[in-house]
Amino acid sequence: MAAAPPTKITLQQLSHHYPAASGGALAALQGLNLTIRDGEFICLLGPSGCGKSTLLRLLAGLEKPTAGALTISHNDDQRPAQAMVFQGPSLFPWRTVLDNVAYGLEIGAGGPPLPRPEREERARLRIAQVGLARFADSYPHQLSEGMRQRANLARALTVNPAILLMDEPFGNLDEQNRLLMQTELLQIWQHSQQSTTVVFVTHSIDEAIVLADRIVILTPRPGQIDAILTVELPRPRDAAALRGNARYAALYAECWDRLRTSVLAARTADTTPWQGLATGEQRL
Amino acid sequence: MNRRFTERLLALCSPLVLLLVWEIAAQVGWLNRQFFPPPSSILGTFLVLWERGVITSALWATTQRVVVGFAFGAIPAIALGLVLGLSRPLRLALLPVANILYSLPKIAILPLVLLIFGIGETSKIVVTAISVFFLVLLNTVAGVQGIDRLLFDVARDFGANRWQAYRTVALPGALPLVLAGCKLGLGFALIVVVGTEFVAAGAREGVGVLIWESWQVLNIEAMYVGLILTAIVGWALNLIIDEIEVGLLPWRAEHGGGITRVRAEHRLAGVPIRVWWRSARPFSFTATIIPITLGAVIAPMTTSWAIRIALFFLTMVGALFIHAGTNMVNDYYDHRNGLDHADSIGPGKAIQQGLLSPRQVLVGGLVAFLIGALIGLLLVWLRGPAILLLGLICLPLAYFYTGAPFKLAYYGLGEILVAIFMGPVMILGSYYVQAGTFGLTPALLSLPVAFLVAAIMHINNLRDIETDRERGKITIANLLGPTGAAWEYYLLIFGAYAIVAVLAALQITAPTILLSLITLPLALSLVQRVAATKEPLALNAVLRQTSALHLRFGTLLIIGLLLPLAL
Repeated sequence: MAAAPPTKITLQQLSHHYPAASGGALAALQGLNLTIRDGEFICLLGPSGCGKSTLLRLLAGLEKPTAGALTISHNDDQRPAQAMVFQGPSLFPWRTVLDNVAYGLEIGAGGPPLPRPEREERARLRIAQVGLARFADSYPHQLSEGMRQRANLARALTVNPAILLMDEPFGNLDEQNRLLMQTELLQIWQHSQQSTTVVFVTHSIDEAIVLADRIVILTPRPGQIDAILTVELPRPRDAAALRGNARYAALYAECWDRLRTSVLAARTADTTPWQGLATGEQRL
Repeated sequence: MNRRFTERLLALCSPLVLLLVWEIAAQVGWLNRQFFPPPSSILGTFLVLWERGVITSALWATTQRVVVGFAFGAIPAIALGLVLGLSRPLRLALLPVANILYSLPKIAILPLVLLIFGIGETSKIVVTAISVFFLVLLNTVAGVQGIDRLLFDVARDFGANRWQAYRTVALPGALPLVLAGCKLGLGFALIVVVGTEFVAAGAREGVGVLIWESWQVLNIEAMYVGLILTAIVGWALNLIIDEIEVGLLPWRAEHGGGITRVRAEHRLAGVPIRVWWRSARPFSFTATIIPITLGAVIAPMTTSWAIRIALFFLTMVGALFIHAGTNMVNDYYDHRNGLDHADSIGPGKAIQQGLLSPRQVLVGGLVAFLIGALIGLLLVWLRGPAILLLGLICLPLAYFYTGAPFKLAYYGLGEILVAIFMGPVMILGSYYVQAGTFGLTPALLSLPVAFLVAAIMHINNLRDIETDRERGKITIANLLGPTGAAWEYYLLIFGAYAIVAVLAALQITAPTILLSLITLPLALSLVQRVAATKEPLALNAVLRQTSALHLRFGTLLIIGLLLPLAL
């Protein structure tokens, strides 16, 4: 028996509030306690506006928590602590795929900035890995949505982050592309000997089960941890075959049950549920 | 097709018809010649003024004022605009002031500026700069604010500091609006400059001065000449900034929409010119530009500068057409022989990408050869039959480079042919066009260039060593195997430097050619990388860098040869 892997991320009573337009504060996250192990694949599952994206932004250091503590143990100077695959059109439209993917190395994420030949070489390898070799010199607007999301993933992977943060990365893809990308992501992650911790935000129950080691279910606003489910399905997983698995069905039922209950509860408690926060969250 | 033709005819003829009607009306006396002199007499005045040198000095003076005033206004405006766009407090403090000042017509402050700076050039520049400043400033601020905040988050997430965020997000993101502001600013600058020239304010030259003085002596024809010149300056400046825009915003050029003007797509034989241009693989043109320039630069002066430049231009265009033709014919045959396929990692080619049919590429290539040959004949007529000899050798070899039935490049001759043509042949040919003789110095100087261009071809073949072998293409690289081929690469690269060093040491050329040694670090890093890996994707990067090395080395060599002349 190998020793349990060390802790990577710790949240203690983590809370976050946004200033509301009408004055006062909107609570996005409330009292989160969670420990994530090194190399673990975590899915944050919850309805829109429950603060999943806020949690990612806190982990990325783009926001400071209002209360509580967030600790990331990182003492490897060969790689950056984290890199994020953002939701929405986050590729630089004025850069080619190659220059987008090489961006982190150009800026010097997790080390000194690399000279052009080296960073292009590393970027090209990543681009080939996500199947975009022929489109390295294309601009984002010339690509399909699926290809853009691949480039987006490649950009985060190129800096080889210790933690990969993914904010509904496959949300805008059609079903086929989604399945393909899930499989490819799992392959890439396993290829890295699972030395990368992944925190993956989704509102798809199916996606969470296919990908995660553990699923963290959040409640509607303010986001609190409703439950943490361990997915004991063997790896490597086949997204299609998984559906027939009895454990899959049980997990799906449990997730749905919890989400439905909390969403319904929030509806009755609040006539205008999480919409206000949802817009606030994206624009901030 | 037919409609297009009619439309073009209309666009072309209507101004001519208008001029004709004007001419007749003025001659017959329907128009008052005092206000509307016939175009022919305006042309006559134009020619007289041209001979006296008035036109060139007026154009030069006005353009200079516009450009200098514009630069003094636009550059600080862009810098400040970026800062204001990113800093909310500064924006709140300064933007209202900028908005108020913006709405003030700048020509109105000319008297004040004249008081402060006196009558002269300075006050003209200052007023122009101020009028450009606010326009560009407000556009830049709007440009920065229009950038999706998400992109700044991306930059921060990768650890970008403030300066990096400026450089990689704010500036490129705001650029479309910045350029739109610059375009408006240039138009404003011209208005203001001509206005200040009216008031004379100590100027003796400029199109505004020409117009104003003609009015004072009632020389109506000269006034019209001044108006035409103003229009020409405005039109030329617009054209230049349009080109700059397309160059700086490649990611928007294809959009067409948005702020960037929709480029009219010119077609040739039913294919957009852009596609023809791309199918000629213009990124490889530096391999021709360097040797042709080098040959012309070292030729002794035998004619006037004007003739020298015209000859150089002809040689360059002719050689580029032959180069483009070779590329296209090569594309056609590589495609036919199944050497290129959809997932080839080299730069995309027109046939693979489905932009052109194989036949179109072949015909295009042959037409390019034809144009190159015609220019060659012109040079033969101008400079003698030695050019004809070069042409008669070059053209067939260029075609049969990959063309059936010889397919020279498939039998291991690719690099050698390229080295000979894009080295000694081009350099000596370009030299001959200028000097009328051949010489030893150009022959010797062609060697390092030949070595480096061979290195480009060679690294290409080293990259494709596996696929070429499968498809039965013989190259020196697959004859030597990966290790031997790597050694050949080192030899070619270091050989180029060694020859330059020897030429300088033996004082065959000026020691300033040693300037090209500045590129040694790049060369060393390339050699290291070829030693480290034979991975095709990595070699692809080396390939790009090798052609960059050729370009830099060649440019520095040319500068090194020109320096003693300049000193």
